[in-house]
Amino acid sequence: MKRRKLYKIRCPYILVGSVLVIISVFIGLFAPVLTQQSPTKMFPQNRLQPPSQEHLLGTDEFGRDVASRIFYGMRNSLQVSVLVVIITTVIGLLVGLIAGFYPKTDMVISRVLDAMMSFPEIIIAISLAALWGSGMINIILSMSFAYFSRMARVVRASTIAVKEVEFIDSGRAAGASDGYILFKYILPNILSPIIVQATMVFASAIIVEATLSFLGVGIKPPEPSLGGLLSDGRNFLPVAPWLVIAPGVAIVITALGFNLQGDGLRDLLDPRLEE
Amino acid sequence: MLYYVIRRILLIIPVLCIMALITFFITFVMPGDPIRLILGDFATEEQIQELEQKLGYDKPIYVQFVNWSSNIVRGDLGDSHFLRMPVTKAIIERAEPTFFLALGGILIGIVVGIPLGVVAAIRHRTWVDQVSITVSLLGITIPNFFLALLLILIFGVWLRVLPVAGYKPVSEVGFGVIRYLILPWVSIGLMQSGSIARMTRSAMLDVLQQDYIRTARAKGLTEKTVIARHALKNAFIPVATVIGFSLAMLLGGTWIAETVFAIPGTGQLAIMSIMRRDFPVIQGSMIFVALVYLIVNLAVDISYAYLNPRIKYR
Repeated sequence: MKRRKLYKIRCPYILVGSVLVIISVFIGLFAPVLTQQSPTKMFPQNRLQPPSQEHLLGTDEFGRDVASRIFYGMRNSLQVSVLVVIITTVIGLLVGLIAGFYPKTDMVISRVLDAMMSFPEIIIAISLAALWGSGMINIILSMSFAYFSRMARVVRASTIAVKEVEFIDSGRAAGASDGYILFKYILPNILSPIIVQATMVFASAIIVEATLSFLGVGIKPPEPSLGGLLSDGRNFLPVAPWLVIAPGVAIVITALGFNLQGDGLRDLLDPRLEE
Repeated sequence: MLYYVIRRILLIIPVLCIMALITFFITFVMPGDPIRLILGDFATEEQIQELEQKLGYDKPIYVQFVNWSSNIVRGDLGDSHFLRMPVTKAIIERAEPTFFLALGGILIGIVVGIPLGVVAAIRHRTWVDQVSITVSLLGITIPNFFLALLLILIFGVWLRVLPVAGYKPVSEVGFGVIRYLILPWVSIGLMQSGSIARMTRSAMLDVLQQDYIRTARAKGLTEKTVIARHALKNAFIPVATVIGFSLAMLLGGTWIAETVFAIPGTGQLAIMSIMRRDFPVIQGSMIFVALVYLIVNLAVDISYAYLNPRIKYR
């Protein structure tokens, strides 16, 4: 009953968040259907046209349709983010479970995580992406490297909290192995912080991917990416502001959707908030 | 207390060592060959070998790491391949704009963020709260470079009241430096105010439920006094953590804002060096970022222990 009430209060955030997420995922999934125009084909005679019926968001300096470049950019952005979330969750989960369950390994793992924390994540991501070279796989790996420590810390803290509860002892008394206890007893009980964290990583990943592409170390042109669109558009800021505003708004909508959901889910799943 | 401070300083040492290892590892695994980049495509095999020897790239990795880290301990971060000067000097030369940017940015963050969070907590679950939450969430969601470009568009291109980019040192233009800093300040500050507002709101909500707040109200204090003297003062500890954390990040370099506004700070130096694979500067910048972060956080932690008698320093 109380949970229901809380859900009602938090509902607008999750609802608005879900709508934004669904819109961006829909655009990402159906980009080829939504737009008939090629995101990469150039029509120099149509360059820098303002928004019109034919080109809803105008055209860029090579006469390419901005709307379709944004749609495909969102598709790329979501692809990168999904993979980053999967990789960080799997690695963070394993590292965090081990560190939380075996205090001896924790000594080492926690120091390494501390050290990684003293570099801002975005700086690790930029450095690695620049050094490994741009391209989808490289930026996915560098972002995962930058963000897995965050997930590992959350998992570690939750594991330590759950480990001391009696049912773990009873499992051990019944002869369960460490692996069985970790995945059958502990994992199901720490799922909610992991889900919340994964949603937050998703939102960050959208923004970091855009930042990397903006700096020219992300998705390789002419392949469209939201950050890359902003970076190209800034040269034409006085004459064609839509080249900056449209992709910027697309980034905000996508990231805001996941942030709203993360916030809502955290409040919904956090038992401390049940008054 | 002294024991606590010493212990905290000693605890930094292992973190620093691992940090150096990570930095070295990150810059070592990159594929770009710095020797070829320095000499260009037409270098002869001999020239390449000679420079490799001179810069020490011909030695095994562990020898390079030992040499490099023993130099760091002595405060020597090596020489830049491109700037023809020591890395430490290059970073110090560019510290002024970054320092101003970080300080101004965090000030705007505090001035906007704390009232926003307090108001949201006082008017909990009303439209004021909703608006505040939305605004602060937008603050942390809008990418820094997008906000920066919007500001440039509005104030630089449409209204033409502020320069769109660039920077002149204080020694040349005195207070005129503010003209170059306003837009970057706002773009950094609004982002920081988002996280500060969120933390202020949740800390205030926690505190407002405490018994001593009820007591303070019961003894007839005005709501203003209760909020300012009793609630905010106690809610400030977690907020100060966020502020310290943000300040540490910003002092390490406002990489994106410096790049968009073409401000020659430490962040722009780092990004430029990454693009041209200037290994010593990249490594130096990363060490600089992490060191600033550790020192600022240490200072924040120690000042807590000093300010808040409830924290036991062990």
